[in-house]
This record gives sequence, structure tokens and C-alpha cells, in this order.
Amino acid sequence: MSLDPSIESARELRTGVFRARVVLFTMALVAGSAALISMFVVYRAAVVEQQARLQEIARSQAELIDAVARFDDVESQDANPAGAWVATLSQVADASAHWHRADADVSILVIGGRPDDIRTHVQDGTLLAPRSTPLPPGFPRALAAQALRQRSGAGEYQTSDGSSWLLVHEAIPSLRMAVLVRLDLDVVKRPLRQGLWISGAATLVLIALGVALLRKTSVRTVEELGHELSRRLQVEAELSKHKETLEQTVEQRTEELRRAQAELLDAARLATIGQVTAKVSHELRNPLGTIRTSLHTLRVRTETLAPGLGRILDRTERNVMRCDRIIEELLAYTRPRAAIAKKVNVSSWLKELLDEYQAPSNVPVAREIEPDVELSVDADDLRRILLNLLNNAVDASQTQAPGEAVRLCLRRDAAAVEISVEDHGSGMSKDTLAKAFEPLFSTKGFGIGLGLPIVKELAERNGAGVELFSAEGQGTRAVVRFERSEGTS
Amino acid sequence: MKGLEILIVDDDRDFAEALGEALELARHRVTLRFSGADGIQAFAAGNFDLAFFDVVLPGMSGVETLAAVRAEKPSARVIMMTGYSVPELLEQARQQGAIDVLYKPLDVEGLLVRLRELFPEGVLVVDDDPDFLEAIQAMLSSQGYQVSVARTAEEAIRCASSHPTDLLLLDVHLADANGLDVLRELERRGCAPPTLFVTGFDGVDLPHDLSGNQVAIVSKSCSPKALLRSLQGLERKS
Repeated sequence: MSLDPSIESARELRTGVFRARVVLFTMALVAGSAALISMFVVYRAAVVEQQARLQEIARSQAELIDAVARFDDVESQDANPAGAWVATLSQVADASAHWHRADADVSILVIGGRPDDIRTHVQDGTLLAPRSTPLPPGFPRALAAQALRQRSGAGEYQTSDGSSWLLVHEAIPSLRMAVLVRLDLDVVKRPLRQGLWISGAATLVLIALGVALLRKTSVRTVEELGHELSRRLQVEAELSKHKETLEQTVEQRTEELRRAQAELLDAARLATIGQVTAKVSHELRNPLGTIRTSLHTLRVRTETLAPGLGRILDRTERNVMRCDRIIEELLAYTRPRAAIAKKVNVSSWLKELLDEYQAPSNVPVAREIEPDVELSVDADDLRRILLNLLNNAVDASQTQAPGEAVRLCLRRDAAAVEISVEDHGSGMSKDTLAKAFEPLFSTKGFGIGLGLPIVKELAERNGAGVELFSAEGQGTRAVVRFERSEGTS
Repeated sequence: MKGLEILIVDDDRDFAEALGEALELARHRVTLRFSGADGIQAFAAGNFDLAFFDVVLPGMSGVETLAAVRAEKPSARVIMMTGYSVPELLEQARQQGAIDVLYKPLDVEGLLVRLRELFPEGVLVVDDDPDFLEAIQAMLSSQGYQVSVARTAEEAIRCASSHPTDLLLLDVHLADANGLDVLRELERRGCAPPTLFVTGFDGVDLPHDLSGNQVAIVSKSCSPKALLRSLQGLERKS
């Protein structure tokens, strides 16, 4: 969300620069057009001015010739015009030659003749009559004819070589001739063209400068901003794409953390229990040691004297050892050690275990053992696991009708090796089942409630899982499951 | 094996006394002390074959006591006892040269086996029944005894007079002679060990000349444990 202002300003900047470009180009266009238009106007004014000058020249020449002709009394209808008007024209030519030098840029022709045979009599102060020449090449015959017909006029024409000419004519009525004054318009156009070039170049330079300035000041920044913008937009898209994943990860991590903390608390609690247990076990084992050792002495000394004492001594010693086992369980639970796994043929190992196991005579233990199953496991741990499970099963079966067996099964499939202990005792309620693995939770009349927690602890450190299946009145099945890996076969 | 001189050091007086009684019953001589310092003093003053130290003692610990005793007498044989394992302490005890660490409550039968392993005791078993010989030899060996056997009276007399024999397990009715006469012959030669007679008949009493603390008789049908206890109960020669 915090990206917005910069994105917005980048957008605005981009739009602004675009507008500035448009304005710049428009202005350049307008300026160019204005320059062109003004040039054209100046050009037309210059042409009009030149035209006036040419008319002045033409009129003065025509008046001059007319006056001279009248003075010489030359008639246009003269049958032999070559006589008198040539002389007149000769004078005019002299005068005009002098004049021509003053206005070198214009060309003055005196023409005459029939419409279909128009001839040039004088050209630029040079008398061509009496052997008058045709009109100079490219000269518009129609204009010449018009000049002979009308009093005066003006016009523009282009020759085949592309040059433009301004032409002004003035009739010489007495001689039925006309004075043509023409000017190469290039004389007018040249400075204007130069001006146009200069102004165009200036405009171009200005545009270039403007563009360059715009680029220098902001275009690069804008482009960078544009890149940055698209990059940010991309990042934003990615961010929002990963947002959910992130949230999930955070949730997951939080949960893991909570669990780790709980485990840590459990561990701390266990460590304290461990210290207490170690202390208490020492305090208990000393008196137990005294009792057991004294029992030995009693037994030896009374063996021959009072044979009946044997059973009492056995019972006492049995219960001393029961106390010792409780201590051992407490220590086992609170002082975890690392499992030492070795490859064990569980099938034969289990048979030996069951042969040694002393179940009460009213609870037979049935077995269903798949042969030659091997596991990589700490045999001491597995022994404790199974003895705890068997003891639970036997205890649960005590309340039931005799004959219902506890069943120990060893099975192997593609995924795992399973050892299960099943009884047909009272089973567990849902609540009991939920708490079964909690330390110190016990439903037995005696016992400290560490049997199943130890089973779980030992199974887990051997890479196995423990599951309980039970329903009230339907017995219980405990399954220790070793997932098969390379260590098992 | 003659009875051993044993020192027991434990601040738990009841335990020390109980263990002392059990060992005395097995014909050892026992001295009790209840602190490390007293233990060291007693060990220096006496001539003990073996000592039992509790690991956890007030003041000077069992391990420190062990170190002090072994510093004084490097050949001292000491067995440590503990109510619970303190791995570091036990490791130290082994480094200090304790020959064993036992856990309370002690298994006295097992301890006696261990003592016979540490202090070998030779038993000569004389019987004309090969099956009985085999069975009793296995049983006694498992209990730490060094067992030799003889099938005839002549063989028995030769063996007992040529090899040091701590105990004699003697069948009363041998094929070639009476077991009682074999012991009489050994007494005459001055090499009669404490002897346990074994008989297949009930109600056999030993004659006067062969009665005393160093001689006893049991039935062949008695349990192996009872036979063992009778063997251990024989007064050792001083």
C-alpha cells in the first residue's frame, strides 16, 4: 500500500513529460507555420513592390520611347518600320543601356511585330533591330501577345529550367510595340529562402534543444521510474501471490514454536522430576538394599531351622523388587538415554521374551509371530515396551472371565513391521484413551502411570509409533509400528 | 579361599550391618565404618583383601575415599556401591581403579559369585557317578568356583594332596571306598580341607571324629541352592 504515492507521482510525471513533448511539437509546428506564412506574406509584398518598380521602369521606358517616336514622328504603321523606329529605338537603347546598368537585376525587352511573329527589338539596352530576333527561348508567347494587345499588365511565369519570372508590360501605342520588363524572382526569393532556412534551422535547433532538455531533465528519470514502476508492480504481484503462503508459513512456524515451547516446558518439568527421582531413588534404594540383604541372611540362617519361612521371605523379596522396579521406571522415564540400535531377529527374540514372561496362570498369552522378521532396534527398549504393554494387557484381563487370552502378534507388510498386544479386558472410555499417554495418569489401583508414556518415549526414540485402539467393554489393542526403511528388512 | 578380610564403608548403618552379616555368613570377616575418613583410617590400620565403599557419603565422597585408599595402597581392591547412578561419579570411580560398581539393592547371591571370581576357591568334587559329576561341576563353575573332579578314592587323595584344595565335595559311598575313610586319610596326611559330604541316603550322621564346623553333610536330593549354601557355610581353615 505504501507504494501508491510513488507510483502515482511516477505516472503523473510520465504524463507531464508526454504533454510537454506534445506542447513543444505543437509550438514548433505553429512557429514553423507562422514563419512560412509570414515569409509568404513578405514574399508577396516583395513581389508587389518589385512589380511596382518594374512597372515604373516599363512605363518610363515606354513613355520615353513613345515620346522619342513622336518626336521623330515615327508611325507604327510605317511601311518600312526599319527606318525611322530603328533610329528611335537606337536612342532608347542607349538610354536604356545606361539605365540597365543601374538596375542590373531586371531585363528589359522591346518587342513588336505580328501576333504570330513577335520579335525582340531591344534586349537589355542592346539594339537588335532591324534584324530583330524571336523571343528569347522559354519566353511565354501568350504574355507577349497580351502585352501587344493591352495598355499595361503584369504576370508571372516559369521557364522550363524551373526559374520564376515576374513580368510587367507597357504598350508603346505610337509604335504598336510594348516594353517588357522582367525580373528573375529568385532575386526576391533568395533572401527569403535564406531567411526561411535560417529560421527553420533555428526552429529545429530549438526543438532539438527542448527535446534534449526534456530528456536530460526528466525523460531518463521517467524511464527509470517507469522501469522501477513496472518492477514494483511485478514485485507487488509476486508479493500478493505469496502473501497467503507467507501467512500459512507464519501460522505453521507459530504453531511449531508453541509446540517447541511446550516441549521445552515438559523437558524442564521432566528435568526437575528427574532430579527429584534420582534423589528419591537413592533414598529408597538404600533401605531396600538393607531389606534385601537382610532377607538373604535370614533365609540362609533359617533355611534348615524353619522351612516354612521360605515363602514369606520370597514374598518380601518379591515386593522389595517391585519397589525397585517402580524406581527403575521413574528413572527410565526421567533420565532418557540414546537408543543403541542393533539388528535383531524379532521373531525368535519375541518367542524367548514370551517364554520368560511370567503371566498369571488365568491369563494365557497367545502368540502369532511371523518368522524371520528383522528390525534394527534397541533390544532393551523393545523389551521394556513389550513388558509394559503385556503387563497392561494382563492387568486389564484380570477382571474378565478366564480363558480370554492376551494376544501378541508380529506382522510384517511392505510398509512396516507391527507388533501388537491385544486384550479382551474392560477397554477404555474416550476420555481415558485420550489421556492414556499422559504421564502420571493411571486407572489402576496401583502404579504411577508411567507405563504408556515410557512405551511412547522408547518407541519414538527407536523410530516407531504407538497407537491404541480401544472401546469400552471391547478390550484394547496396542500397536507398535516400525516404518520400514533401509535399516529394517 | 580362606575367609576374606572385608571393610565396608557406608553412612547408612543398617545397610552396612546387613551387608556385613550376609558376608559373615559366607565366612568372611567384616569391619564396618560409616564415613570416608574413618574408612581410610581403618584401611590403613588393617590388612583388608577387599573394601566396599558407598559412592554417596557425607563429607568425603566414596570416590574421594577410593582415591585416597588407592593412593596409599595401589593394589587395594575396592567395590563401589550406589543407590542411583551419577554417571560422572561412576566414571571417576572406574578411573580411580574400582574393580566394580554395584547397584543397591544388592543381589547378595550374585555378589558372592563375584567374590569367588575375584578370589578363586578350588573345589574338589569326588563321586563315582559321571552324570552327577557333570551336573555339579557345571553348577559350581557357574557360581565362580574352580572345580576339579575325581572318580575314585585313590584319585581324590592324590589330587587333594598334590593341589591346593580349598573345599572338598565328597560322596559318602564311592565304588572303591567309603568317603569317610578318604577324609580320614587326608587328615592323616595333614591336608584335609573343609568338606561337604553328599549322600544318596537320608538320615546319615557323621561319626564323632569327623564332626565340627569344617565338615557337613547334605542329601543328594537337596536343591542346588541348599547345596551351595552348605558349601559356603563351611568354616574355612584359618
